[in-house]
Amino acid sequence: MLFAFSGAAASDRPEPKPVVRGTPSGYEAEVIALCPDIGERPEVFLARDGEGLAGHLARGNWKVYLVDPWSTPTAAAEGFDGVVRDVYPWLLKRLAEASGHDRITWVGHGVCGLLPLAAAARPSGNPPPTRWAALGTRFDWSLPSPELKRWVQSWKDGGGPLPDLVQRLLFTGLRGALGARNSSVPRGVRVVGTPAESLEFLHRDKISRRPPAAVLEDLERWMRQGRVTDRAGWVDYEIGYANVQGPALLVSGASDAVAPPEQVLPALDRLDAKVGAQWHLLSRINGDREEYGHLGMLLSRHAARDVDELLTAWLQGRETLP
Amino acid sequence: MSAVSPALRRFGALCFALLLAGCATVPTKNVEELPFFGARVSTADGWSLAVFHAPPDPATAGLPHHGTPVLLIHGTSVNRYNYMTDGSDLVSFLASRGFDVWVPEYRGDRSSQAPDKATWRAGAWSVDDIAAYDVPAVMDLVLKESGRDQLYWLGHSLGGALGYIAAQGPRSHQIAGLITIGAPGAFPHPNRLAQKAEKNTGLLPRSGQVPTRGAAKAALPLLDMAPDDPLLHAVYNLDNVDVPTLVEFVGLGMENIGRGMTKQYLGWMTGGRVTSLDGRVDYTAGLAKVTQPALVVAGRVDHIVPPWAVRAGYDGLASTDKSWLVMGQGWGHRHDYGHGDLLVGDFVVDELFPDIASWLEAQVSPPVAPPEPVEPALAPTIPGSP
Repeated sequence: MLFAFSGAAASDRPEPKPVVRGTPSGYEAEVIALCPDIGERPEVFLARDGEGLAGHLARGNWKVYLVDPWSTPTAAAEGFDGVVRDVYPWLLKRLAEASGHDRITWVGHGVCGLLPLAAAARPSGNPPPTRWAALGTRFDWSLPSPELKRWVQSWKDGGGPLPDLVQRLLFTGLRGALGARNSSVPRGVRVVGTPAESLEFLHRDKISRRPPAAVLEDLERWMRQGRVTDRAGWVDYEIGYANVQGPALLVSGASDAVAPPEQVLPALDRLDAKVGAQWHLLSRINGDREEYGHLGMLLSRHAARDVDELLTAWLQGRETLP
Repeated sequence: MSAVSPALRRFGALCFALLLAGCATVPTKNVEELPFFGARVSTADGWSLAVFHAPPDPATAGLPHHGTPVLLIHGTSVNRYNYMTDGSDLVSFLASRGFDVWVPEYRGDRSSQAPDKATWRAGAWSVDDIAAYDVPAVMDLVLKESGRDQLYWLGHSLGGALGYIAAQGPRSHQIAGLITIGAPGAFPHPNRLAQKAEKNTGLLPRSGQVPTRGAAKAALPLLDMAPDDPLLHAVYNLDNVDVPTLVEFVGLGMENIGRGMTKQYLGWMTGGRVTSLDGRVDYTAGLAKVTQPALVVAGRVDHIVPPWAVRAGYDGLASTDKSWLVMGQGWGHRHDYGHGDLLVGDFVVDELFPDIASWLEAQVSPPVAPPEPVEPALAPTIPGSP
C-alpha cells in the first residue's frame, strides 16, 4: 500500500495528490478528483478509518486524487471567483495530463461541488467534459440558517466557531449504538462523549482549517443576495445551469444544516435534462443508517455502507442507485 | 431472504386486518361535556362539528393583542389533541398569552356527526369538502363569537394546507395572517416512503375509513420494543418525544382518515401538486393569490411533509411579509424535528411556541419606530418677553 500526501502548501498551483490502495489502477482508469469544502483539509476524504471515501474508491480501480483549491493564494486574494477562473481549470488540466486522458469525475464536498457549475457560467470557453458529484453542496443560498451565518461570522471575527456550534452545524444526524447497530463513530476514533463530540474532536484535530477570508466574503454576499454571483456582479454563476455538462449526482443529507435538501433541489430542477442529473437523499427513510449531516456523510462509520456504495454505484453507471 | 413464509405473512396480515376492524371508530358521545368544548356548528351540507375554545387569560386584558382570535386547525388522522397534549399544549400557551383560541374538529373526527349513517360509513369526504363546508362554518362561529372581522390561522400539516386553500378563496379577507407548520405547498420529489405509499394503494379499503386510529393503537406495544423502527421514525423523531407522551397522544389524539381524503392525497403525491380531488383546481398555483403575512415552519427531518414540500408553499406565497423557520439543530434547536413532534414534543414549549406567540403579537401590534425629533414650528416663548 502506498499513500502519498503532504500538507497543503500555499502554492498557487497545488498539485493533485494521488491516493493509491492495493494494485495501482491501469492507464485507462478513470480519474476521480476529491475536493473538500472550504473549511476542510483534503484529509477529510481519508479520516474515516484511515480509508474513507478516497480509500474505498482507490480500491475500486479508479485513479483517485485529492485536490485542494482553497489553500491557494488565489483563493485567499480573489475568493471563489479566482478559484473558478484559474485554479479549477488548472487542476482539471493537471489531472488530464497525469492520467493521459480527459475522463475526469469531479466529486466536491460543500462549496467545491459548485465549481463545475460556476465554471460553466464563465464566458471564457466551454468547460472540459467531466461528470461531477456534489456532496452536501448548497446551490440556493437564500434563507440561510442562523447557525450557518454564525459560523461564517465566527471565522470572520477571527476565532472560528466554538465546538458546540460546529456540532450543531456539521455533525447532525449521528447516532449512538443500539442493538446490532454500531455507533456513528468510526473504528479507531477516540470516543469522547456523544458521537457528535467525538467526531468534532477528530475534526478539530485533523480536518478543520480556516476558510479563505475572501471566500467567506463571497458566502456572506451570496446569503445576502440569495444568488451566487461573482464579486463584480458581471457573472451570474447560475447561468451555468444551462451550460454545464454531466452526468451529475447531487447528494443531500437529510439533516445537513449547511446544505439542506430544499437548498439543493433547485439545482436539480434547473439543470438541463441532457445533463442526466440525479438527486439522492441520505436518510433513514431511504434505508440509510442515519439522517446524514454535512460531515457525517464523509466521516460517520455508517457512510462506508451508505455513501461509498452510492458513489460506487453511480460511478459504475448503474441505473438504480442503492 | 426472509425467514417468514408467504403463507405466514398472509395469515399475519389477516389477523392484523381483523384487529383493525375491531378498532373501527365510533362517534364520541356527550361531546358537550368534554373539556374546552365551545360550540357545535352545522355545515351547509348537513354535518355537525365540535369546536373547542380557550378564552384569553383575563390577566392579559391590557395587552394590544388581547382577544385576537386564532384558529388552530389540526392535521390528518389526528384531532384537537394535536394542540392539547399535556406538556405540549399550544391552546393553553396561546390563551395564557392573551389570544382567543379556537380548535375545531372536522368531518370524520369522532366528535363530528354525519348527516346520516351511510355518509359516515362511506368515508367519501375530501379535503375540498372540508374547505368548502367545514371551514366557512367554523370561521363564521369564531368571528361572530369574538366580535372581530378577521382571525389568524394556524395549521399543522393538512391544517396548514387548508389555510393556504382558505386564504386563496372567497373568505381570504377574513384571514389576517397564516402560520403553517409542516404543511405542503406542493409535493415535488417524492421520497421513498411516498413512492411506497403509491405502490401499495391496493391495500387501502375501497370505501369507508382507513383505520389509522386502530393501526396506531395496535402498534403501541412496539414503541418500547422497537423504538428504532423506520416507520415510526417516519412520523416522529423520538429524540424529541418520550414514549409515555406518545402513548398518551395515540390513545387520545388519533382518528381515522376518510377514503376520499386518501384518494386526494395520492393524487397530490403522484401529481406533485396540491389540487382538488377532481384535479380541476390547482391549489399550488393558487398560492400566488395569497398576500397575507405568513410564518412557514418546517421540520428538518420531516418525512411526511419534507422541508422541500413545505418550502414550495413558502416560495409560492405572494405575501411580502413571510418568514421561514426550520426546526432543527442548524436553527439552534436541541434536535432535528420530524412531522408529529413539531407539535407533540418535549421541547416545543421552549423552542417553537414562543416564536409562534411572538410572531402573532408582532402582527397584531407591530413594533413602533421611535418618533422623529420634530423642529419646533415657532420660537419658544421666553418668559418675561413681550
